[in-house]
Amino acid sequence: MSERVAVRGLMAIAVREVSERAALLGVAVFLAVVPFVAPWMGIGDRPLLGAFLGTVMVFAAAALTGSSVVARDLAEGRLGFFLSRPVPWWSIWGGKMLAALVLTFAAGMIVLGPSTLGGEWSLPAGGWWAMILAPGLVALIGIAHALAVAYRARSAWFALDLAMAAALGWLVARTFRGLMAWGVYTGGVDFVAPAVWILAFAVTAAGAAQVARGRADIQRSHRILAIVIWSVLTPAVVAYAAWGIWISRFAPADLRTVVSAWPSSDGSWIVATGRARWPRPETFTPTVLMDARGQRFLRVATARLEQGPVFSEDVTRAVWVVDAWTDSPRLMAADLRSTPPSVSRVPLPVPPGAVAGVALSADGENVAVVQRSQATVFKLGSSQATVTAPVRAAWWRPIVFDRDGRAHMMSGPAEPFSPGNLAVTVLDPATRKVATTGQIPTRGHAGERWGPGAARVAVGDSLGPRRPSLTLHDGSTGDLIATLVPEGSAGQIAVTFMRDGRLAVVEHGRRIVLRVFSTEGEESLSLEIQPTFGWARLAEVAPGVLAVELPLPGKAGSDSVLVDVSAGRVLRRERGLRPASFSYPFGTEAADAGGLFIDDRGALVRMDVATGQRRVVLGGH
Amino acid sequence: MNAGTEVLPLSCEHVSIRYGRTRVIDDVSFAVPAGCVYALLGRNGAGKSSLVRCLVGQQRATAGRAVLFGGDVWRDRAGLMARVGLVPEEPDAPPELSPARLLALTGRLYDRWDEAGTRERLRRFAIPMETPFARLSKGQKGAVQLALALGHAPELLILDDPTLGLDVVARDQVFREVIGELADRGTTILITTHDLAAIEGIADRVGMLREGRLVLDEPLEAMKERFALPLERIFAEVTSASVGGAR
Repeated sequence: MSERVAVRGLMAIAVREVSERAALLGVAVFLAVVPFVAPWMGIGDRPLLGAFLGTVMVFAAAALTGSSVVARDLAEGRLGFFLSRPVPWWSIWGGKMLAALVLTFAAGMIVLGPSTLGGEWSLPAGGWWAMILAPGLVALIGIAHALAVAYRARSAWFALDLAMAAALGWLVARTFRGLMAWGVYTGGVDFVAPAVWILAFAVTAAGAAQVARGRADIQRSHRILAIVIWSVLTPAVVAYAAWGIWISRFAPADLRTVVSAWPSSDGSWIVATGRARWPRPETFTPTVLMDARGQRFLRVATARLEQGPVFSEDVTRAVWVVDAWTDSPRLMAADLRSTPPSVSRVPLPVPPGAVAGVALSADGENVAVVQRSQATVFKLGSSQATVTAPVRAAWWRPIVFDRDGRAHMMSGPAEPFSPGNLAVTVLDPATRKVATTGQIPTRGHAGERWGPGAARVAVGDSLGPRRPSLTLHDGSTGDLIATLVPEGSAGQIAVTFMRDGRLAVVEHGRRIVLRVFSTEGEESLSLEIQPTFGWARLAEVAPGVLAVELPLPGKAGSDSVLVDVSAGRVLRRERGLRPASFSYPFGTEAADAGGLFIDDRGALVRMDVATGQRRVVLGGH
Repeated sequence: MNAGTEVLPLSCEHVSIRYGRTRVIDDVSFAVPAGCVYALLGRNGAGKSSLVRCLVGQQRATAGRAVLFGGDVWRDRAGLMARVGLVPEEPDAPPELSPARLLALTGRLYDRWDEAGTRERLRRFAIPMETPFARLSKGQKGAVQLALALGHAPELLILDDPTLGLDVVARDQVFREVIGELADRGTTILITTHDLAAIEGIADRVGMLREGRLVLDEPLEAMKERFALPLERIFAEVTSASVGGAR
């Protein structure tokens, strides 16, 4: 037997298979005409119809050719015609697979070609689809072939096939969902393409092994086919599942860069969100709750899916909501006193729906949850709702507890981007009563920040594209205390309440100015930080010390200007540092007793504000 | 195979075939010397076709091995098939192809192929060349398969029940063709059949299968002498009861 005969045999077999199924190409020609005729008859949109019929044709051709090229000959005892000739197994398998591929590709091109050439639609740019389409066609043909052999063999191995397919399918689905819960999406082309290649390899190798070692014996062929397919797919799926488990078993030390972080009120615990180090995927952005010494930690969730964590005042408890933006949010509660800290899921006594805000009372006994149309305060220990209130909440909606254990929040307006009233809503779990204690008119695009103990609330209007204004209100009655930034006086503003209740505002635009107001709205400090155009944010990084972040134009990093508010002067400019707690998202302030910053490398840094000494807490390498 | 000894065209070495728990062929051994016409006889379901599939490397024996021209046919099927022609019990040619296209297709699968000779043989068999294989009669299909099996001048021809379902005329034609080829080429032939009358004049050696075991394997004439019975009687007795002197 010569190689020449083997290749000639491969081609002869391929040509024979194609010629036997030439009718398939005739059907494709008919379907190619349909999109040009159907619109005349008022049926369908031409490009859409062409794309649809082309897709159907490709799938149908792959299934038809894949299921018949070998399996039918095998079942009907005709594979022996080629096996009794001096051609190797690869000529037989290769010829038949080549025919199936050519037919599938040609049928697809015949249907899709005219629409494509007419410019009615085109394949997506970038060529990524080819990474999936090419192995996808092979996989589809191979799967059809495997199913046909399994069906025609009618052996007990078919039960094994079903069991293995179910088991591996379940494992893939479970791993996929588990990874999704950690914000790792494995349905993108980066993951699907290798999966399709592996699948294509498995079914192709199995088909080849079947022809090589099973030959004309259909029972043995099926056995070999099944063994090869599951031998390839099982390790691949198990590896995927193991990788999924490994992903979710991250530790704080696995964070490469920290995106945001905030400490508990006493600084003993830190919540840090960051990106994990390779080989964990770049998109993996988990949040950890760790003690400040880095000895104990809890895995919280992924940043995109959570609300919280928030701490009780004595920092013995923390709660957070996982899957907060889904219809099935889950409340998790941690007991931070135990070693290791324990976490338990607490039933949420609320109707299905996303959670827009969460708060924990100072004593850690009560939890407040805001949803689109309802606010609920309930006992953490028993999950018994003590008071509920109908509210209007658009996206994020802060809720805070005052010193007497009542929950305060704003409700409304009816149209969040239009003028209207914010209703100051107070839920009292002690009396189980709800009261609307005040109304604050807004011009639209309103956002609020609550001061310590909900004594004050700052309301900013039009914080988006239009000129902002800022007013200070009583946190219970909503009464206007002062207009701190009239409309039109500043380009942009950023605000933060200080731990003693004062309100700091940085106005930025043509220049950057820091202003500090007392709880009664009197301006106690006005300090120019930068005389030129810029953008700024600020946070209190130590008692009485504000950090104004100045992003560096054209660079990735930021500098922070430290201001001693009591002395009314700039302490110094810290290069390559930004305050860590800007992203504290709950409308209240993260009292930063620890001076947490994030440096240019993404490391979470604790800095002694007095001396400037820095110590890396997490990440940055 | 030791150096200096004759390489047997076919030897079957302790071959057993099982389908699940069913034993179809049980420890069968025999050899076919060069130029010999070996008739392997057995009743329906005796395992002849399974054994033939093992002998041509289409099916793996559960135990033992088949050796063609000194080579293990399971390992070197493709190489050995260049020297072997096979006429299977059930015609296996692609049904949609006409004899003319079958001829062209088969010719491309061999290094050496006698296109003219095969075409002439098909003409002698009066095969319509443009009729799809599926629409040929049973006898015509067998004739086409035989012509295709002889097209590369095989050194070993294996015929698996070639006359099954054929009428008397077609059966005689097949055997006349075989005899003609034998006379011309001295080809070694293994034929499995239960058509005893047909092999009476052409077989050199006979093997008989009963319940998967080879119970008799000896020269035809010697066997007839030993039993002093017509072949039909020998076959009936051997394949229905144990026989003294059987292997």
